[in-house]
Amino acid sequence: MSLRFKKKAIKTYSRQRIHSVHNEEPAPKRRRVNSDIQSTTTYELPKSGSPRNPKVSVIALPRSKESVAIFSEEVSNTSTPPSSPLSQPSPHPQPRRPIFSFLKRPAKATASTVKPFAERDHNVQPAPPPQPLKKKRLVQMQIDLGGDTRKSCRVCGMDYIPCNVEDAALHRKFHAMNVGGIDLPRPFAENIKKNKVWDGGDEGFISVIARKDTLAFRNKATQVLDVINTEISAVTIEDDELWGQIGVAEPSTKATDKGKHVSTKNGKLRHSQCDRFKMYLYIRGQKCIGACLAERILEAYSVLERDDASNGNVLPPAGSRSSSISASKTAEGALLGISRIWTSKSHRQNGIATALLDSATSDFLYGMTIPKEMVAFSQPTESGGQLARRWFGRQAGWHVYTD
Amino acid sequence: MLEARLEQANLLKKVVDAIKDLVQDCNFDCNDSGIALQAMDNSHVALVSMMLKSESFSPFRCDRNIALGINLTSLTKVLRCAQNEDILTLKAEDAPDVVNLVFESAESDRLSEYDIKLMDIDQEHLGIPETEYAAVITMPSTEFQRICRDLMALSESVSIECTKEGVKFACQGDIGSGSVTLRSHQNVEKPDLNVEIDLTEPVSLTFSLKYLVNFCKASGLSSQVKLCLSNEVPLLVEYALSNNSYLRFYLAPKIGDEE
Repeated sequence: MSLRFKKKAIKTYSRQRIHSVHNEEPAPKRRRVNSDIQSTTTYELPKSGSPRNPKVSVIALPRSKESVAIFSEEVSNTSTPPSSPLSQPSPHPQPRRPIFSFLKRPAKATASTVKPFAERDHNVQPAPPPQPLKKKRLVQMQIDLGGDTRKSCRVCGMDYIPCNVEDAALHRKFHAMNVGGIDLPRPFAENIKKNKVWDGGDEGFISVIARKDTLAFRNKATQVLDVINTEISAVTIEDDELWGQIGVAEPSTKATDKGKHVSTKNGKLRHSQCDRFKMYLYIRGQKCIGACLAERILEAYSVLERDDASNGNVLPPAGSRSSSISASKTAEGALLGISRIWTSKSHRQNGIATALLDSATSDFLYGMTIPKEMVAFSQPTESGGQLARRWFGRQAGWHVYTD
Repeated sequence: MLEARLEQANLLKKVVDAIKDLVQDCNFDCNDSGIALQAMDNSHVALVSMMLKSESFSPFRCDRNIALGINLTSLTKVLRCAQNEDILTLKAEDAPDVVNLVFESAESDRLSEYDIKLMDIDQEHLGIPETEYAAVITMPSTEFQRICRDLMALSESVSIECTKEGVKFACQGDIGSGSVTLRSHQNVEKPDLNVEIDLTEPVSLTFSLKYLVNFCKASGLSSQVKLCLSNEVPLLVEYALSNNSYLRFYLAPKIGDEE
């Protein structure tokens, strides 16, 4: 027992062993009795229609094992040696041997139903005899030396158990999706071209998916969003919310200042509906390698210089930035929020996210290009912060908003 | 630093050939007693344990414990460049990035040198408990290889049944069934053909033939193979090498599932 086994199912090794011991033990006895009965029943089969014999013969022939159990109660006293343990298990055989009890139960049940049709059973092809060896499906054990079975992938970050086939397959899929982009079916990749908002030639194109698009498009967008959410550990957005609308006070689209639109000429706000989210997909070939979820927002907060927030003196080493930012407390008007933005691992540093941002600003509101000052990011990740700084072209003073 | 010189590259070639299908990457743990390797296959069904004692090398020098994480496919590629009779020298620094292999031809003055990049493999060296086995069978490795290959044609698993009478390898497949029985056998002229069965209690276990056939790739390393079985533990297939070095395979059995 020093080398332990581990099975894929939760069962323990010791329990398995008990079963196998019990199976081996009674088997030879049964067979011996069985042969006796077989001969007697086959003789009686054609002539007698007595209530017991047809039942036995009909079922006994195909399923020799259980007929023994039924029959051995009577026969065992005479035919088997007195020492035979068979007489004990046969009356209540269920609890100990799952294999045989399983076979036994249907035998008793069918006995009553078969009885009235006993005469016709001569023509019935006996079912193929069950093969007890085949029933015993073999399960491969595993070696467990006590090491850690979990592994976390260094590239995609997924925690998985490599020795579990399903888990390993799941990881492969997730890994490929993360590293190489999300596979799109060919018809989808063709259809989505009609929503193209930017074309980079061979490099790929950017398409937009919004509330009014077909369900297939929206579902794909949700699927892409799921991958993104998993990678950046963001919360999932409900479908209703994702493809819903948002009421926007009209003047606020013109007036950036918050105080201004409260005091509009008419005294009341004219509300209009606007798609809350739009999803921009960067598609190259058959794959979606980047995506951006843009959101209509109303206000945002500007990011302060790092030194203002922390006590100043401790500067982080160049190149490595933390994802922490500090924002001013006063809200400013904004139009476009970048809720999620993502590029697949192997395609980073190629300007894909920048292209997505440019497309979002020019396309999100019809007929206008949103100035960068009116764009805000949701709480950025480390790389998201880097992207924002590069796109805005400054370390601080760009905007963030809360979801 | 590590410097290990093998008189015949053949040994390492065969060892790596035998295990490269079970494991892709593994650590070669080098210390002053020799070079050890321990790795489990992906599904945790089989385990390889290799020990090349320092006596197998001449000379052997290892100042510090070094773990060389090597991709076995890469190692096979490099070892293919060596002739069987070449003298092989393995070299590595104390904190190495690469392992250096030098092949010297015994006949000509040809000297080839290869570096393999090392990888950082997160793998613990786990202790394999010493076990008393209920049955120990020693038989010609070619015989074992033949049995496994023959039965593989019929089924994917083999039951090894060891009793006083002998050892029976039986399988049952879709097309039929087959079995090979070996009895204890002493061949005075050719001791390599001996079959020895050392039994304390009868054992019967079922194993996956796919893995056994894989293990048999090591047949060229040793004329005899030792199979050790017990009802509670994995099968041990051992190929003994000279100087107490060995190549061992452990294989977890298959057990009947009743649900």
